[in-house]
Amino acid sequence: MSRSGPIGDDDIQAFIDGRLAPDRLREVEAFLASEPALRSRIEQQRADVHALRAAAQLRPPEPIPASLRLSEVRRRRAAQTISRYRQLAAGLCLFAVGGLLGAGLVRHQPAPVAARPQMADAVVAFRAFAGRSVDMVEFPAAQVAVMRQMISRHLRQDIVVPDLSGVGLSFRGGRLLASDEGPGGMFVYAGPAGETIAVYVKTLAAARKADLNSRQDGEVTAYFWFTGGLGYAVLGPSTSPYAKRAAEQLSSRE
Amino acid sequence: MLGSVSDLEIEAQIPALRRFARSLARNPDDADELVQDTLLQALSRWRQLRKPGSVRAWLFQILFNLHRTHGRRRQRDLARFDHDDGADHADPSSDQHQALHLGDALSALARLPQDQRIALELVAVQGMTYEEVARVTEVPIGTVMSRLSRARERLRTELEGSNVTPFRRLK
Repeated sequence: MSRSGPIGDDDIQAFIDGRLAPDRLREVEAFLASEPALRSRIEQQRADVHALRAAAQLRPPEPIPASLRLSEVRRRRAAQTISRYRQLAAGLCLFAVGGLLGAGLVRHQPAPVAARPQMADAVVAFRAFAGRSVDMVEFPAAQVAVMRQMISRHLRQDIVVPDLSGVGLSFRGGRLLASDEGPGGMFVYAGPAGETIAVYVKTLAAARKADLNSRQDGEVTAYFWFTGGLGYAVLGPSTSPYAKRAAEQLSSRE
Repeated sequence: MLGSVSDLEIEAQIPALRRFARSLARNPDDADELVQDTLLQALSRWRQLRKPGSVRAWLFQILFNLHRTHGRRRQRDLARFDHDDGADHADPSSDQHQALHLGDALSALARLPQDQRIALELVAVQGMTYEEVARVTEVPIGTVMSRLSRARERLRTELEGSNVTPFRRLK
């Protein structure tokens, strides 16, 4: 850890763990020399850390059970996948029968939504509202509570404004949108290089689930996944790694 | 599919993953199930791992996420903590008093609030960097530091067996 300026609690923590850079270590030691009470408290905490580590090491390493061997996990995964394909195949048979019966009706239906590239509406919204300026928002970041309330009412379920500070993105605001499947919304973030990253969420006309996927559309890349009733996309310039990072964080929570 | 080198890299983390899982789950069986689910998910999300050096934090993050999702269903019981029996594994030749103290440290750790306990365990026992802990628990690094600070204060208080006023926060 390298830092400068006044000694903080984070310096003390790094001191206890023995993780300060040599220069900072000298500064912290000089500081502690003038604070004997704090110094002794910290020495005790340091001893506690050593005790914890030593105690954990006293546990003899257990052999890894066969069920946790990767070869075994992979075999089980393959078995699961096969049964999923069997279900899918059965479903397709039913669909084929239904398709024959319904052929006359279907002819006059408009083209299904799925025929468009996935999350095309998200890309359009991103270009219109977030691509040019990070500040084209209805609800600025300070109104995050109002934003949450409005979007939750709009989408008829509790929607939390994602906190992406962990991946280095700062929230700038959001807006309500209409998507091609129903009510939607978009949260806008700024990346470290000033790039705009947006999280797009919409209600799905037909519930579906899908793992994280991505699609590049010109200079914009969308990472998207479906969780049943909701579709999510994280969008950003194709040159920035942040949309992907944010999408991985958010989608792994599902 | 993973190449053979990656397999080795993942398998090398299994003992550490099991230890972490045991500190989260109710019993060793649940813990191993959690590890198994983690490996399953790791195999299907392999392409999402970008930095090859971060296999450990990536696996821990998956495991912790799964725990949180499962955790809402299963009521975790606080008293059960696998490390409680730490002293039982003490080398018979080691100083008895020392062994007791070590066991105390682990059972005191088990009594900390979950967020604090996890932060301290990942740093002190698993030797993770603060950045890795921030990634695994998906909180800003400042939060990791303050959890660590509170965890150590509380651990000390537990070990002293009395309520000692925590030292004043530094400016």
